[in-house]
Amino acid sequence: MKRDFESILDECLQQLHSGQADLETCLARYPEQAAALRPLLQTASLLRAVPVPRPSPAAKAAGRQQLLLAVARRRQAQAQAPFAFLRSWGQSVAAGLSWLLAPPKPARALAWAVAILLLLVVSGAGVVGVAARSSLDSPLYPVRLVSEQVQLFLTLDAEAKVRLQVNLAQQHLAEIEALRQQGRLDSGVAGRAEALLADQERALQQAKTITGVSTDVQEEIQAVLEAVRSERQTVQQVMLLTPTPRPSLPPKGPTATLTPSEIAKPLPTPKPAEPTATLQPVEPTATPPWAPFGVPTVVPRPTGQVDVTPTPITPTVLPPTPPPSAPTATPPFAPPTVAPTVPPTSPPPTATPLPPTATPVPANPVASNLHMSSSAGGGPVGSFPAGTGTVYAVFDYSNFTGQKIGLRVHDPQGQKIFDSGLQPYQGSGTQSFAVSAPSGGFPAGRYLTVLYGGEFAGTITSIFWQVEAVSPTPAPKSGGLLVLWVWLLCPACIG
Amino acid sequence: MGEKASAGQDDKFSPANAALGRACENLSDGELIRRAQAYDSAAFAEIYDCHYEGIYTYIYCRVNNTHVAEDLAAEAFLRALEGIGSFQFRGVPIVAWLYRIASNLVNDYFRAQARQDVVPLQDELLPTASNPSDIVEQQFTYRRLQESLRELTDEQRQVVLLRFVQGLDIKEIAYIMGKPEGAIKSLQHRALSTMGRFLGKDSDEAGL
Repeated sequence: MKRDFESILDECLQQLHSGQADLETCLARYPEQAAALRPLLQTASLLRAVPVPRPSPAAKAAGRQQLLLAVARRRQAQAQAPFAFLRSWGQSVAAGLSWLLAPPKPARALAWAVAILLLLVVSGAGVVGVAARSSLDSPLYPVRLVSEQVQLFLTLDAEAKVRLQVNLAQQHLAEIEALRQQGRLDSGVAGRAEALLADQERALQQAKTITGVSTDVQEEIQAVLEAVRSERQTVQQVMLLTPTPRPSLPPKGPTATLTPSEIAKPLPTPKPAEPTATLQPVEPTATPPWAPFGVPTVVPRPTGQVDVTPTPITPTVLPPTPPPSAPTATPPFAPPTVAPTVPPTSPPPTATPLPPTATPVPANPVASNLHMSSSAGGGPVGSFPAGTGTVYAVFDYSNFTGQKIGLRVHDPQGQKIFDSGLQPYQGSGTQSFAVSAPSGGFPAGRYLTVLYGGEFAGTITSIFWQVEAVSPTPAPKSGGLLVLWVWLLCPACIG
Repeated sequence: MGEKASAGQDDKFSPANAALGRACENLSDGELIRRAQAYDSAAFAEIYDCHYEGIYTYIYCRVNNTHVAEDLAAEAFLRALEGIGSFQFRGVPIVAWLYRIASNLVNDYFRAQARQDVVPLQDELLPTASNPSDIVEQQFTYRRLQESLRELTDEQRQVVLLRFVQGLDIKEIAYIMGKPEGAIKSLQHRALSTMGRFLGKDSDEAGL
């Protein structure tokens, strides 16, 4: 009987929740249980109406970014699985060498001979030599990593080993940076680069602990370690900004009709004086342009310190008009009138391919130097005076080819008070958004500006800034007015 | 996607009956899981966007600490990523699986904290609304809910949160808590009875 009542209760709850019936309808269906059902259903209705807390946008964005980065790493690890045998082979080689380098025994002499012969054969075949020159996006790259491990293992002197480690890390850094600037860091290569940099970071940290190394080498380790960390952060951002390859998707219409040379050429735009056309290209920065991952930059700091990038912007690169939303040269944003300009008799794209070197490869997009300012071209401002009505959110972008980013601002309560929406960017430059207070100036408190973008609109970077509280009105003024009024009404009352 | 990511964030509070756990019913779980098992970023982004708020709210209502809830909610999705490879879609909705992960995380958290799963009142954690009268109303209602939740056992409280705040059904809650459906119905009945008595008494004392 009890179980029956619980089933009836759940049935009524389900109907109330789905809107199939109201309270009285449910009770009318079960008149015998109505008296017992009524208070329970009323409590349930109250529960459903109670407001529940929502997460802060910053925390949600940070968690999202963390998750998508972890997904990218997993995908990369999965893609590298075919090379796993090479890693195990490398470990086997290292284990074998350990055995060979152990105190001599008669059996090892023969093993040494075989090992040297093997090494000569492999070297003679040139595989290792070719692999040593292979880049990160080459299938032979894992072979190169194995040969580097062997090289490190065979270097017995501690300082020489550390120097070799530093040199190898510098080589990898330079190659990854070059790939990034050439726009060759797609999601797969970027993941491989990130994993490699993580290995280098671990190796350098280990190298720091080795004693008996000269001071200049230690300083060099530290410098390279910082460079590796910076590059790793940049590569992580590239992993988020670079779309996942989806070969199953059909190509978009108009772009399929363009030849490679037409794709390379800027297409005519409706607005001849486009802001991005006048911008000077920004050189790739050596400093990390992105906020580090894993560091909760979007979480308010207890100290109240405002995190603003101190790098000043150059006023000459500011666009004369605010929204850079108009597309320029990228095929996906080309006007529909472009396709008919291709003569019908022209050969298909595959018939006249240009050599790969003829197509300019864009470098990876970078957005950086997010800061707040009191004017469109002004420098960073971390704290605005009470009563400020308009502030400006400013950031630099470079190497964009239509990737979309957006900017939003949250007030001290976490409410979104400004959102530019995702807009496509072209080339390099500086973007400035005016953010106005609803009325009477911004309320005092701590505000958050978030630059978001990429395939999944994750947080790129964020900063906190402050609006100061209104200082209390000095009391003597009102007191003086009161005295004046009293004196006017009753001069005898004063003095 | 950007708009999607920020959608629904304009309000700090939403009615519980918005059924947080049912945010994206139009998604096909089987297809979504297949894509997620191939580590498709878009699939995980969909899962996160659809279920983050529900998972966060569930955890927050149990731990009543914003920072802990944020950390555990983020961790829940990372655990989901770790476990997606071995997840077998046999009619169990992905939302139930996610809540099960979140539930286990909260249990682990409480075990690590070596304290009871109580819901303390912390006024400073209550989100603020824009209108002062709304703030008072929200605080009053939320306080009554919290106080009545204190009267429940941990299992009863979980059922209430999953059923009435997250909008899940009995079958899903049974999967999350690892109990038969009949047991969940009993827990639901007892929880509503206890809360009804408490809230009724509270109203009488307040002269409402």
